[in-house]
Amino acid sequence: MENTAKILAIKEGDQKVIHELYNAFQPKFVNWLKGRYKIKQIETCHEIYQRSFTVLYFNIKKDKLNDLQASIETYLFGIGKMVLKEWWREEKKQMDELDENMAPIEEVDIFGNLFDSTDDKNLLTNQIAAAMEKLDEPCKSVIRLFYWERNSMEAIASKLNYKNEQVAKKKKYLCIKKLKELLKQ
Amino acid sequence: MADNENEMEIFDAYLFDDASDKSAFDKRLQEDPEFNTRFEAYKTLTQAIEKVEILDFKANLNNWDKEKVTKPTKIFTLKWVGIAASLILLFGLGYIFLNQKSPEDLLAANFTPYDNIITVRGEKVSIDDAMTAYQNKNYTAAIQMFESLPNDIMTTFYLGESYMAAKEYEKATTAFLQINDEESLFYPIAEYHLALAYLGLNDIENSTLTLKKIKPTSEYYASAQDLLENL
Repeated sequence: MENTAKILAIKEGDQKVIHELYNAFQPKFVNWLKGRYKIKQIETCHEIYQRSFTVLYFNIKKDKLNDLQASIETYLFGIGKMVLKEWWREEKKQMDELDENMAPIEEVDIFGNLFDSTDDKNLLTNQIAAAMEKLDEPCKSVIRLFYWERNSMEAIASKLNYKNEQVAKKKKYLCIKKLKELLKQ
Repeated sequence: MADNENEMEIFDAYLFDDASDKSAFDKRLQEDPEFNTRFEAYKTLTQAIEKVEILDFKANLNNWDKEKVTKPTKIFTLKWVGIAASLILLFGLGYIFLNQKSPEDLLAANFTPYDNIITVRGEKVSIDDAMTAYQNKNYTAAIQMFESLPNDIMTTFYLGESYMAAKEYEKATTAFLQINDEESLFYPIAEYHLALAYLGLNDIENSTLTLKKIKPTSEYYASAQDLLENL
């Protein structure tokens, strides 16, 4: 599969392709962490890989990789270096040599604060995750389709069989209200 | 929070629609504190909702990792029945499906020459040449060049890989057996490929022994377990 086809498949949320790519890059990525950066704990290697792959996924989803010239793998390893820097910052360790041979990915926003944010924000995120679990359909779908998959109101109306986009808009408003109510419980 | 669905639509346009005119909105944010408060509350909420998606995605990755360790057979099926076609496209190699179980077929289905992950530097001209030949799948030339280089773990590993690709399995085992340092980048893959080299020699006993030595912490543990089930 060509780079462009893979990017398109990921953007469309093709779980099979995402899963395949996740598995395909993992051994080499983990070996690279162990060999080049002497990270011995396999759990740490897997965590850094997961974070890097997550950043890759969301950058693709948010249309930041449309014109990617390098391979997805090269880009992933570039992300890996930056995620690793964040990791080491968390661990308060020095990794000066990480600046060597940095991949040319300066055109891409790396989601700098994807994994580290304030405790308040983490708390809210956890509360919303719990509230979303409790939400019934169609609210769960409405929120997913709009905030996660960036569907238009027209598309949501079509997918959920609403009469028109005005109905979908109203439904979304009510679903957000419902979510807020669940947060208060 | 937005007062009604129309205000929420305005907030959404500002937050998510790059094409919207933001200047009038910015002006209102400055001049209307209540509007500003409602907007900030909504923005915080949407950011948190987006972050839940990230957690959801990461949980999915965790599940995929767990499947690999606890259900090797299932992964085997998923991996080879489900993604074989993609693997061929990804790596450009002629994989053979694993319903044919002779040692030769198992080897062909499981061996992929390891990618060139060496950071090529200008001053290492000989390594550059050898790695280029290897990358271009000119394994005979790569073998000659790797053999002429100083005997370090990297050249030994790629020499072994070149022997594997050239189907010189006896020499491949000799090369892989020299990679003993468990901390080395190449150790896990060399260990796994040593088992495959034994398969190439039809030496099931040594292949099995080598596969059984692969620890659960190795990235090749699941693959080793898959292969053991088919030996």
